[in-house]
Amino acid sequence: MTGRRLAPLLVALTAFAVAVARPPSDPDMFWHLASGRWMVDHRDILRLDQFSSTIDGQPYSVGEWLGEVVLYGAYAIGGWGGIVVLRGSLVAVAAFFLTRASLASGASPRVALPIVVLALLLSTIVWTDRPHLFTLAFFPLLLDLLLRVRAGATRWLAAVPPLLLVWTDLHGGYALGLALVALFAVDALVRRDRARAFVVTAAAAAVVTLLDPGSLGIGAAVAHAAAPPRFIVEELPPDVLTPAGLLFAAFVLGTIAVSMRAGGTALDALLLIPLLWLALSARRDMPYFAMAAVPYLARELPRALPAARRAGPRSGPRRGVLAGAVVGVAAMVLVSIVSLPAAVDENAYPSGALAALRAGSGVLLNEYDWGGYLIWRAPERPVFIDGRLLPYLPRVFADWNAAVRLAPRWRDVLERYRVTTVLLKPDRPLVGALREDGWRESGSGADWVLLTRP
Amino acid sequence: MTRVSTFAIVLGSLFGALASLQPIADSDLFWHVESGRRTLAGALPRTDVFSWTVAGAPVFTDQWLGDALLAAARAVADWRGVLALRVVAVAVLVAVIVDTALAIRPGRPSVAVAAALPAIALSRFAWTDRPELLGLLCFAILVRLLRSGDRGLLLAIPLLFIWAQLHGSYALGLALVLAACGARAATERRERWRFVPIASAAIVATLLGPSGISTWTSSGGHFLAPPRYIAEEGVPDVSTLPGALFFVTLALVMAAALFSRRPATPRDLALLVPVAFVSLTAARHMPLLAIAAVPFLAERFPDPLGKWRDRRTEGIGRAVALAASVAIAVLAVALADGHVDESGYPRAALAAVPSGPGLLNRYEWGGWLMYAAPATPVFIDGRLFPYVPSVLDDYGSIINAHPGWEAVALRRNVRAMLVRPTDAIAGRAAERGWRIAYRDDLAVVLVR
Repeated sequence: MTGRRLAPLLVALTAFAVAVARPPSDPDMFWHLASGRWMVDHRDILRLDQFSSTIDGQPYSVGEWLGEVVLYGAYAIGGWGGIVVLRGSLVAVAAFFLTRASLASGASPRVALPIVVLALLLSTIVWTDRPHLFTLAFFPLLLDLLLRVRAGATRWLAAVPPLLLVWTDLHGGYALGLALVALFAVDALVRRDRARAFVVTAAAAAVVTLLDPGSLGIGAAVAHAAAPPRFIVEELPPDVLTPAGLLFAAFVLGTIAVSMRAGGTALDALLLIPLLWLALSARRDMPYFAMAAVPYLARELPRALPAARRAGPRSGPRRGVLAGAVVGVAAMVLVSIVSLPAAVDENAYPSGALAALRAGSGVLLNEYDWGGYLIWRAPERPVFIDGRLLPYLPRVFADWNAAVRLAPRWRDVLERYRVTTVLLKPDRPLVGALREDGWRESGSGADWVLLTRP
Repeated sequence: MTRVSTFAIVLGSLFGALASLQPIADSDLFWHVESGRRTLAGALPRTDVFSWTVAGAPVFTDQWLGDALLAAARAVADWRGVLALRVVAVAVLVAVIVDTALAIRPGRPSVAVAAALPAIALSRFAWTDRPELLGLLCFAILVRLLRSGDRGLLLAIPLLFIWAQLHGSYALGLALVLAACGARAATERRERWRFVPIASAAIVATLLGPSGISTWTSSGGHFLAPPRYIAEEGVPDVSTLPGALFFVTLALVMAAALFSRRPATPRDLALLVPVAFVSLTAARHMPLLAIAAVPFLAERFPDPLGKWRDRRTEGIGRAVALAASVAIAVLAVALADGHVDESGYPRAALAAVPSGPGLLNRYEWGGWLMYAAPATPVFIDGRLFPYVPSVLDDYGSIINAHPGWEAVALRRNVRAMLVRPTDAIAGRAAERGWRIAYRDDLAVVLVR
């Protein structure tokens, strides 16, 4: 086996070892798990709210039902370690196909692999334990598949509709996959090369995404991308003065610089420009631009940069180096499996307030970021709001925001919802106001305060 | 360097006239004018004289000439003078942008307009009455000069000297001149040493102002740590109109590069790549990329209107066109509303505001208070940096009614507040016994 063939596997295994090093802690993971558990227990798709006091019993959908069931399945089988292994596996899938895609055009591994590593580094911002991980894995998979079809392996087009069917139920990011197929179809039309096959596949892919009423509709998925909720950090535009933003900027500027020197194809423009818009619209989408740029940069960098040209088109490592890499990666994977995190990281959550919460009663007003955690750890007290967000828009979110920020109608909000308990960060204006109004402190930690109406 | 095209001048005057339709209302204008007024009177403010929270503390003087120009314009023709300065600056800015494109594709006005359009559209969001607009103009001139060989590089040195007195954005200009020297030294290896004195002179030119070397620290600090809580210092957002225009610019650059068969030169790379990075850092920098991209786009754009050729207007025709351009600008200034638009400022609340130190005002009203209520020093204003971090932190604590705000107000000796009715503190202070001395839909005055 050559280094070229081994490279995707080695990169995937390395990515797995790195990805499983962190314990689970994502705030949204908890409500995804609770939703998955409910669906497994009831053998039905969750369509009505079960977890909140503010939208209790109301119909809603965030799609992703299969993603939540798989996430809960991983937990049911392996506990928190199961979640970690699922994360590592999906990151490994992403790394495998991204590396394959980067090498597909015959690029030198010495040029391609550093670019792949940088793209994977950027993708760490979405290595969270949510259905989003499925999009992280499926995007490079589909990109690699379509690049191979474009290069001649037409039979693989048959795999696209089933892939989209599954993706649709796993995560709302399937819209990205659908767009990818459509862009390749446009490219085929422009090149007049198997245009009918690509167009039929794109149409079939579009149809299968409509088959399951339990998924997030294409309209909702597109609307979310077009108007991201800016009050959520990951939905903010990229900040190039942060480490991840700087990496993203390196991809944008690198792509511009390389294209200025070496040019490109219509497909490059079709892929890179829309994905640049997507990435600029929300920082969580930065990795997809980088992933789409990887094959382009690996292919064209040698033409743009004389130093990269000297790496040679197909130069591979010596056998000894390759054997050393295999042994090293295997050792890394073994160590990572042996030291797999077995517990959830609750440092960011008010775990000290759980006992008092469970013992109390009445309507709770909680910190947005803690809603999912409370759904999972204190189901006895329905939450006011949580990371599902969409069902809370616009009314409940606006009321919550008015209350915690002490907007003029904050008292009206507390009365209207009959809030009896408040669990917030200590620096919230509402905390100071309620203390001054005589609300009793039932507990507090470094990062949380539990107040009860007198 | 060639003579500026008549077409560019006419287009510039038209956009200058358009700029006159914008009201005089920028919240930072007032403190710039007040600073400039003192400078013209021979007392360049090196320490704060407008606030009671940082009174006597050192303040930046890196925009002294920009401030002085604004104050001089006002001294000559009141606020209409400030408006006239804006119109002239916008007219020259647009003329330089279009002329840069025409210099690349002479006789192709349709290509020039297409290449210049993103830059003109994005610059629209910087048509403010501040030294920033003059900085943008200097940037456009530098882009033009950097396409003009050795003479352009030499002319960049006096430009940098003036720019460094006008606005902090000169730092980008200096970086680009150094990058251009580097790029040319890399391609002209035999004569590379001749770029050393040019680069050195460019550096020295930026140090010859009253701020000396501290002008670098103010620009650098601002660039590396932009205050994100100020809208224009936020990151580019493609869901807004300026952000969408910025994305269009990026997309045009990328598409032009991908489809072009002509590789860009190191000079193009040395200009576009650093400017693209800077423009990604903050919304206010977005126009820079569009302006820097004009030559690159003009070189590569197709010419769909190939039959339309710009005939060189010479002699009397050129004179008539120039006269018409001046007439358009003068007429626009004469017909525009030459008063300050105070609809966003709490003029009616001023009667209830006590004079002397002790007033906490909203951030964006600080500059206006210097002009409208000079007897009442401000808590904070748009100059921002003298207030970072302690005054700004305390301001945030009080205005948002964070836990402990009363202790902060007591420590700061805040006697009164001029805030919006929607601010958390407006309701909370009233509940805690502060007297409402004035209230309307725009402002509340609370007195302890």
